[in-house]
Amino acid sequence: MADALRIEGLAKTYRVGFRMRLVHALVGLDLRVEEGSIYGFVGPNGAGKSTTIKMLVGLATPTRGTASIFGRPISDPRARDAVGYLPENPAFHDFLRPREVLEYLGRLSGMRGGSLRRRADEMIELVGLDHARDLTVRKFSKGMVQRLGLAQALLHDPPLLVLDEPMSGLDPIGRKEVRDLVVGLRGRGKTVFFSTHILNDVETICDRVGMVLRGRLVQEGALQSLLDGSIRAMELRCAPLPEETARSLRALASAFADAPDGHQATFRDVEAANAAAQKVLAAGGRILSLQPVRETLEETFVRLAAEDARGEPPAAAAARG
Amino acid sequence: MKTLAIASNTFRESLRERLLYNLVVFAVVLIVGSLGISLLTLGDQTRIVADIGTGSAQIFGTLIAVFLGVALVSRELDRRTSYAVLARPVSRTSFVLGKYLGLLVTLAVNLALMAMATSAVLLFQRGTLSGLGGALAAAHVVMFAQLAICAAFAVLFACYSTPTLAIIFTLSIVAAGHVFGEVRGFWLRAPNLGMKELVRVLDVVLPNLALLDLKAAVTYGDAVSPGAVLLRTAYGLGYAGVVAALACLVFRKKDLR
Repeated sequence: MADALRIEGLAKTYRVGFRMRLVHALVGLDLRVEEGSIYGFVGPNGAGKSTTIKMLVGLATPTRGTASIFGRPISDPRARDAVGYLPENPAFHDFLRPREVLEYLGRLSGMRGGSLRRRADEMIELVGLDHARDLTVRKFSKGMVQRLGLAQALLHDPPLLVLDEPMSGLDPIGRKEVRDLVVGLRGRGKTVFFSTHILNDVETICDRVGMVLRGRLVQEGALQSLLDGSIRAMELRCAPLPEETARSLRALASAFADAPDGHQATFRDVEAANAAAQKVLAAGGRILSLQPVRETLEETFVRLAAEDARGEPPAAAAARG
Repeated sequence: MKTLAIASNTFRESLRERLLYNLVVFAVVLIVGSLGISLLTLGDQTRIVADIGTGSAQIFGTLIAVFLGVALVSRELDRRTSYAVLARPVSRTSFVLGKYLGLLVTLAVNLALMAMATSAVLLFQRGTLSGLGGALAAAHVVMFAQLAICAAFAVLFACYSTPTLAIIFTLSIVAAGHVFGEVRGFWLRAPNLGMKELVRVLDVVLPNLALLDLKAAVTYGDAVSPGAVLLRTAYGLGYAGVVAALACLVFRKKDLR
């Protein structure tokens, strides 16, 4: 697969305040995004996600490093022909109606006449703003502005979508619609690069993930390769047990609690869980579930953030999976 | 084409500005009101009407150029409406020129409106415009070049500064341009003046806005040669072009945060 996006040693240093203090927003980022994939760019607020995206779409100039979009350097405005960009908290001229916004921005992408008007109408329908055609943006809710932002990003049918916090401001239904839309775009051969700090979205739809902390990429790879696959604990749920059996289970478990349908116990290893299961069966009890507990993306992220805060190197080297 | 699309959107945006309407309505009321003021004065009442008419156009035109020029650029940056624009294959130069051209069209329309108001009042008072029409048109053409300079400075300062500072900087340059144009001859001829070199530098760097002021010709009914109008307008638009190019250069380096 060819690279839709290639970033090499990208860095950004800002000067802030009256004394022109140096702030390193991004420190030597290397990244490749394959064509036709969904790439999740995750990190806490202030990690450097939006700075990276702004450099990619020409809103900021890199201090060091290079980046290219389908082989064209980002310093060339024509590279942005291939990009649909959704800013974080998008904003549009509030005196315009959604179709007027799309027609204006479409003209800036080289679109004209009837085809632009048709495409604008399609996009308004796609993002569910049909009912708001006659309203000016001033009267839009935050979620409606976000939908309009998505519409303008998709307007010129770009092969690469760069979405900065696309789920921001959307209700649960809106978030699911956006997730479905992103997956649908991949099905049509588009590449999606999106930043978020909502890790559930990443786990659901991303092929690859890059984790950025304090301006550095600390982990990068295929989603499964990032998750620590080892079993961290075993969780057993069973129907109500006689008091004596419950007591022996409590002795084996690292955590034990009564649940509405019986008991729930967590064991440190498989052996302890097996022994507990045998005790349950021997006492004539019924096992409802027995399953391993593995590290989630959120836990991986929290672990890496804690290691980074302590100044330790990330546990696993950034590797391409 | 992209520059024109941005210019057209900027013009639409400026037409929704309350500030614009407030200033234009106030200017037109003042121009029409000059009829009443002229009745209270002794001497040539036409001069009073012409003076107030062209003076209002200059003062309110300058205020519109400065305040609207700063607002149209600063707002795009502060409210981030520029993000969706600049993330498209649009150069920074196209963006700045588009904003500036849209502003110039707004200024031209407003100036035409104020010129029409002055002409209508003069026509009402004198029954004819003969002997004044040429000077009135020339004064407004040259005034447009003057406003183009004010607008270019407003856009330049708005590209890298806060709106308040941009307005202060622009008004300072405009004031210096008017004052310096009046006193430069004296300073350059004065035999014992120190810092003559600085005066010579300022003479080149600052806009000579007094040169672009033909109000007196209208007031006193002086003849204005087309060549002089052409030269002065060319100077004004050329100067504005250089400042606008500087604004493009400054904005090319700007990081949007």
